[in-house]
Amino acid sequence: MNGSEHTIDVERLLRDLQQRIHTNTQQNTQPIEANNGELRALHEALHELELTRVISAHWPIEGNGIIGRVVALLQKVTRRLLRWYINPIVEQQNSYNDAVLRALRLLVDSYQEQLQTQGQIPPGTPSNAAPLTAVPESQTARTMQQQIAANEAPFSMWEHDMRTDEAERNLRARIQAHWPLPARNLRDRVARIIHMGQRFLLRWYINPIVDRMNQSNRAIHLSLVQMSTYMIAMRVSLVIDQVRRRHE
Amino acid sequence: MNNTITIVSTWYGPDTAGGAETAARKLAIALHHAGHTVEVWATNARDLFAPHEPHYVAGQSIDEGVVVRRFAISPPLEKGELPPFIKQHNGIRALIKQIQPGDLELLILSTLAYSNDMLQAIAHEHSHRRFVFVPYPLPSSVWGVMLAPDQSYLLPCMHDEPYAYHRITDWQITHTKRLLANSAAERDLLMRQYALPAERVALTRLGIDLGVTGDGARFKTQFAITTPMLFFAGRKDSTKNVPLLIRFVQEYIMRRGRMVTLVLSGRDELALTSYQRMFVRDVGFLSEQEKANAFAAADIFVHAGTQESFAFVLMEAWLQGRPALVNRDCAVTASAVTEADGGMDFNDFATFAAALDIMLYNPQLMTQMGQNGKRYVLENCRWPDVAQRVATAVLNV
Repeated sequence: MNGSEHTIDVERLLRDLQQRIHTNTQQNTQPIEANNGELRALHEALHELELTRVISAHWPIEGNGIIGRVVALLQKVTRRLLRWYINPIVEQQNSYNDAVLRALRLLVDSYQEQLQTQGQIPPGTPSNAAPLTAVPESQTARTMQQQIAANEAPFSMWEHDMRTDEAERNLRARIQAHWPLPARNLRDRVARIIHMGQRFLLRWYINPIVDRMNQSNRAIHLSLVQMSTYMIAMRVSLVIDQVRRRHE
Repeated sequence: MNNTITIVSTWYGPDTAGGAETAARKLAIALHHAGHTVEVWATNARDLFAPHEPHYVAGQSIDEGVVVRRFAISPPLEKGELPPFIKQHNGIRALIKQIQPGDLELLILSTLAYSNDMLQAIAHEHSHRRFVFVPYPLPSSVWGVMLAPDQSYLLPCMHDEPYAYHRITDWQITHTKRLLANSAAERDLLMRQYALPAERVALTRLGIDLGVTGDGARFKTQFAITTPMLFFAGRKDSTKNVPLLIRFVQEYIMRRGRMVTLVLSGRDELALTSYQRMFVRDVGFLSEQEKANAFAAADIFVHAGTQESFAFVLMEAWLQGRPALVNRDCAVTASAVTEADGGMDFNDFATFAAALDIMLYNPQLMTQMGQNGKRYVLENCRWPDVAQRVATAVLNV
């Protein structure tokens, strides 16, 4: 292609593209401002999620009076005894929450990209544009391609990243309360018998909590999938519809 | 040694799909038409996309004048197991010990279709034949070269991929008498990767059927295409970067506000979302004539895949006088486009969009590039010429 003798007026093409982008940016000022409010709200929501995403299994336990202090002490002892059981569950939830936050941040990126794109929809159909002809002779398709590409706004692969992360998010959304207990030596085996007994006795308490966490996580996962799909669909449909109407 | 060129292809026949297999068949027919004594050895299975079971009748038959000897496809092996004939062959066992292939290499080989009877025949009849194995990673080619290195020629159909770095491949390539490269880029890869001298790699290229003329207007009417049309033919999956291509086209429409239609053809089904169906048309499997019509209808033939050794579809697009837009990371298609001056290449969205801007805005340039491509195909892809180059490489060593 470097040797192509057919040459194109690069300056004219660039001028044409820039003009159409400029005109369209002006035409789309209002939607961008409207969307900025939603973007701000989204950032605030993400900030809130950032603050609350880490679930702690060790909140302060205090009691007033002698009886209160005895109860608090018993609760602390029970919690310490159950640390081996509760902490892994909480860590799984925290891991999932990390993944959700990452997904939401990607959605924010998409939102910002959408604003950029809205500012770039050209007002006229290129089929109406005058054909570009000849000169300068030294210009080749490759060098012209480089010049146009250098002016292109950054392109993110957030759609691709969203889909790649989908399976991992789904996997992390499943919390388990009954993982295999290790038993490498005699001490482990004794501990395992005790832990299995405790787990059995506490299942009335723990299992419903885990079930609710799973239901909630599943709902979050599905919401994310639907939300990302809807956002892409809305973005693409709006533009294509607009372009088609121009053709008509 | 007599002059019987024996093309060994695991899958072969009129119902068989696959680039290397199509090349093997067209080459055999071209060699036959050129007056060379040619025979094909294949299994009786259909192709890579079908189960390992008989499809053709085992034994000798004639296909388009070419003698085809079909061997019974063997039952699948256990993971990592060697074919029975190879397992019993002391020489090959010693060779494997010397090569020290990784477990993964043997595991992959054990999962691929093969014929034990064919391996036996190669061992017994190699003294009076010149084998052309197609393509390099299949068991018939790997074990075949080990059984008869001095009579082995290879049409590797190689691109830069994990198989190319296997120890067993290294031995196979460096012990084959001569390699037949489909393109200049493949020849360069072979010489660079295996430190081979130029005389060991012949640039024989491949051909296409030059007698097909497409009717673009008919295709556009048939499928109601009213916008500029980008066309891709082939597997519609991530191995050909089709999801990336769809994403780029979508983004181009979004940013430029210019409607284009990406038309995809191929046997496999593609799951499209509702919004993708607004700019992507999956026309499914096309006959040869319909495909030629589609190439002729296309404003630009687009190919985002990176793993090619020849790219028949690129040549077919050029034959219809249409320009191409290919992935710069594919040495074969990108260098062909540069050599022919038959289109442009891209390596990210910015260069993809810029190339579309330039080409779609300049019909004269597209026409010129398409004509350059057509000239390249007519000069390089005539099957009689390919047959002559292969015969010279195989018989005049």
